[in-house]
Amino acid sequence: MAANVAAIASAARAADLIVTPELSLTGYDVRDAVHDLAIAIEPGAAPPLQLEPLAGESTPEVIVGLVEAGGDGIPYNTAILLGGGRIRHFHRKIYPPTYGLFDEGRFFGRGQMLDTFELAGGWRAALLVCEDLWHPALTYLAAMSGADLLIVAAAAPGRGVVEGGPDGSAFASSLAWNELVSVTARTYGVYVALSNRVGSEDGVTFAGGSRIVGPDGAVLVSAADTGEHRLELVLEPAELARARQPYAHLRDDDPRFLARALGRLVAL
Amino acid sequence: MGVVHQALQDAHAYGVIVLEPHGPEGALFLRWCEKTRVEAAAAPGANGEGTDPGASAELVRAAGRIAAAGRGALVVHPVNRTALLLGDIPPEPLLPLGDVPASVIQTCTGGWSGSESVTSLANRAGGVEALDRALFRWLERREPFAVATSELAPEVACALRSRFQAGRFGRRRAGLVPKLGYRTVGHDLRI
Repeated sequence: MAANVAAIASAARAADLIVTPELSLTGYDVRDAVHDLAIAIEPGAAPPLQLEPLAGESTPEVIVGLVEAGGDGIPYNTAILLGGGRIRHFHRKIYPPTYGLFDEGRFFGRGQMLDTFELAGGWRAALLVCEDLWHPALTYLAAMSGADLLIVAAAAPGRGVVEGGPDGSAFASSLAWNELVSVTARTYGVYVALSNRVGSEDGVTFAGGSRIVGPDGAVLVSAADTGEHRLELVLEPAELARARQPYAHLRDDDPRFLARALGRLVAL
Repeated sequence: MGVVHQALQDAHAYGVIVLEPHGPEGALFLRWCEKTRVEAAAAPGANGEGTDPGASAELVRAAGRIAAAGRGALVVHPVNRTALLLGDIPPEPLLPLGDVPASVIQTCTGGWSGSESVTSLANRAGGVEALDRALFRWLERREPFAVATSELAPEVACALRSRFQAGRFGRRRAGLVPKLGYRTVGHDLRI
């Protein structure tokens, strides 16, 4: 963990916000080591000693992933926002995948909240972890709560080789992720910043392909699927309005209708 | 190859010793090693010499292990996915082509290799492409067995299922296979 903290700290320069992938401090395939790796955090307070290099008063704000020791004794797959010497926000992964090659539900608890938070320049953001993005209810909630920026910290492995991509082949899972990110951005008229892991761990290759997508769904910057990259972009508030103007679905959406329908559905 | 690099790092090994280096899979893997700067060497005695092929294979395997231990290397077997699914399960710890179907090896190199039982089954199926199609439909797309193997003669389908079932125990203990597909031996295909 110390090496990862140092690497992130050395890369944190000349930006308002740095986003790193899911479980960037520990690696993804932690399994039952969760109990050894878990560290307790206190939102609003100074970070634990191990994370102090990332939370200086004058360093950029940074989002990192770690195993959180919940106060309830349950480990969580958590992404935290560090800035101004304290933990400004945290998000516990709500949907830890437990299917196919994924086994997270055996080791992690499930988050129960999705809050938005404010960034420099008045940006309102929401933070999701990997599989969370595949649940439309969460992106809907984030958008209805006023998020202009969805930040997704992911460790998505590559699965299913198909034709496509710049060198002739691509992971089918990467193509699906790319579509999902663009559709989400366009649907809600928000920027989506995806930071996805690269490299290998225990036979699994992580698909990389980090990207920032504009509120009209267009890919603004993207990384290759191999090798570490640093993507930089200045977000423009005016683009939010420009992307949303042709459409009225955000304006017309009625969460009360959804609340009533869900109330009937859940009551059943 | 990223997985191979990671495996070498995890094992504190300097490189790999490759069994069956002269087959299509072995040759392909050695080319990849050269391109990605992985130190690779053929297992000692892996030139097929010897009067008893069975004994020779075991001796080469043993020689490979001894050479690897002496040089701080990992022993690698370039078995393809088709052979792995149909019961050719080598005991080596790293199987870098274990998720690459034999038909893909054939497309890349003009040939593929497997045990006599597997190659015979492929011939009876009308070619390794037909065999891989059936395996893909059954295991990756999860079609019912009868539907997935509908292009095969019934006795060939029966033999395919029989060989797959016979490999159950070995697949649970198979070495590390870099994941490419949706159901990869050792990751999410443990049956």
